[in-house]
Amino acid sequence: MISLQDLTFSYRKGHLVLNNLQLHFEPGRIYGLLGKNGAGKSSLLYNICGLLYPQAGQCQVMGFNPAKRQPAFLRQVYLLPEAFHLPDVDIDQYVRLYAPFYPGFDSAAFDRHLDVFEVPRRQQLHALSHGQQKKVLISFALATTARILIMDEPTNGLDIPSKRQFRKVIAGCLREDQCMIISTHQVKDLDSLIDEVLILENGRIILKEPVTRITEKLSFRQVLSLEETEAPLYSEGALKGYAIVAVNRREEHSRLDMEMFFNAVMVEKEKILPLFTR
Amino acid sequence: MQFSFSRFIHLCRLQLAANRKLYLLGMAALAGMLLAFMLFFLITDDELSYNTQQTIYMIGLVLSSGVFTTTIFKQYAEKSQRTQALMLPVSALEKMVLAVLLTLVVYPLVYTVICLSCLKVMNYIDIYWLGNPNALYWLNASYTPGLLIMYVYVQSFVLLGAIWFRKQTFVKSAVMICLIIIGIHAVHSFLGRKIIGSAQPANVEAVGQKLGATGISNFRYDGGMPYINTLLTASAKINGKWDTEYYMVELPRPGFAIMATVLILVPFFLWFITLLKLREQQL
Repeated sequence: MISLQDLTFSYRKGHLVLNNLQLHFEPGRIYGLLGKNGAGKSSLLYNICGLLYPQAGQCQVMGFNPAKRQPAFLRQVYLLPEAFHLPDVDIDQYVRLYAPFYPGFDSAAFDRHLDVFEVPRRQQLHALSHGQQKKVLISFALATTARILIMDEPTNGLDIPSKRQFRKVIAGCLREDQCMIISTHQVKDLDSLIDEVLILENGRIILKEPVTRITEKLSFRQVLSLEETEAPLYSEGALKGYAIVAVNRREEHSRLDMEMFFNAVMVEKEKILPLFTR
Repeated sequence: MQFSFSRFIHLCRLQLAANRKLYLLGMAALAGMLLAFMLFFLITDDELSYNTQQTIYMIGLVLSSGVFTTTIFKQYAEKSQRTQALMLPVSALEKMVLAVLLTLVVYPLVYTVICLSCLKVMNYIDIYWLGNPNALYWLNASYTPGLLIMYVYVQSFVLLGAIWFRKQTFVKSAVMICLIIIGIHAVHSFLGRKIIGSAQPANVEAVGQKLGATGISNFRYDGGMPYINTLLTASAKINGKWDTEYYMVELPRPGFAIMATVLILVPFFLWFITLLKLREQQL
């Protein structure tokens, strides 16, 4: 669906933001793109959308060259940016104005999502809070039925109940032919949603693994004392003892703690990354 | 190059709806400013003459449309708006056609309706309250079509500036146009002087006789505009004094045809460059 071959990108000469990336994204999956500030997450997303042009290499999205930004491509790709601007119209007008650009727009789904998010319908968009505006945009993004949905920090600005609503909405609407890429720092909001984790560092993908394989290789659990277990790969002090990431030798089933996993990879790269070498 | 008429209609609706308040307020502000200017002239000159009306219409059109045109691509100025504007499923050609339609057709029409309405009101006051029998300017001056063509040229440059410069678009576009005008004038002057050199009219004596003067010594190059079939204008030195009479020199037909073609193609060339700049927009 999305294929990046030796993709290289920089804003200025001599400072590569994306360095020779080789990546493939498949339909029917939700990808979580993680990385520190400045790692190149947004640049990668913008290259996929055609908002930035690669210096070298190829980017193919559903057979299109994104840099050409053809309408047929753009109506199949929806980017929910972190910072956005909405016109001074009400929600119904917004839909009337923007939906015709997306032939597959599902009005019923839009209404359903707005109901889940509990957004008042009769208000001007400018009268809504930033979080509510974001919910309108998320609802619109999902209702476009675009085959590729890209979300840059979608839960920023959402309150705690809204994050739960967001997970509920996302979990129930991804079709088999759709692919979603979510870039976020707030990994705890999304770790139950994501099928595959990508970690970007210094312009390179250092890890791309399905959640199932991560939990197959690693175990995430809480221990009262570090002595009661074999030396963990990574540990953090928790309310009752320690939260640890350890090699999953006993094939235990544990739930992926995305934040712990990301921190563990950042701190213990040499120990963790070799576990995923194929 | 992709163009879909239905997408274009949706884009027009979106542009007008998203900027509805701005446009309505802008129209009200424009009417207010025009009335204020007209009132100013009415007070200072004790009348609103036909020429003053014409000047207000023309200068107002060029300046206000310049401001309007520099905002036509304002969605590309800020990153938050630029992302959404670039991701909208429309082609660069559709965006470009809309910009040309708004700046070269819709805006002048709206401006003309507002300005002529204001002129009508002020002319009424001028005639019936102040007793000045001034004619009403109703786009009926002989050179109005020429000035409207010039308007197309200026707007084509401003449109290019609107996409070229992301910040302080109006100021930068105005500077760009001034530099272009100065540059064109300098090139014309240089070429004119080179072409004319120290040449004199072949029938200089006949010219003198026709003017009722003798002793024409030489001609001075004053300036030229080859695009409108006048290569240069020159004044003559008659009996040691520069005569104020001007003499037009025209290019031969093939040369004029080339220059006229260049003149006609300039706006299309500028629109093409604007289209390319629109297509290559990045974040």
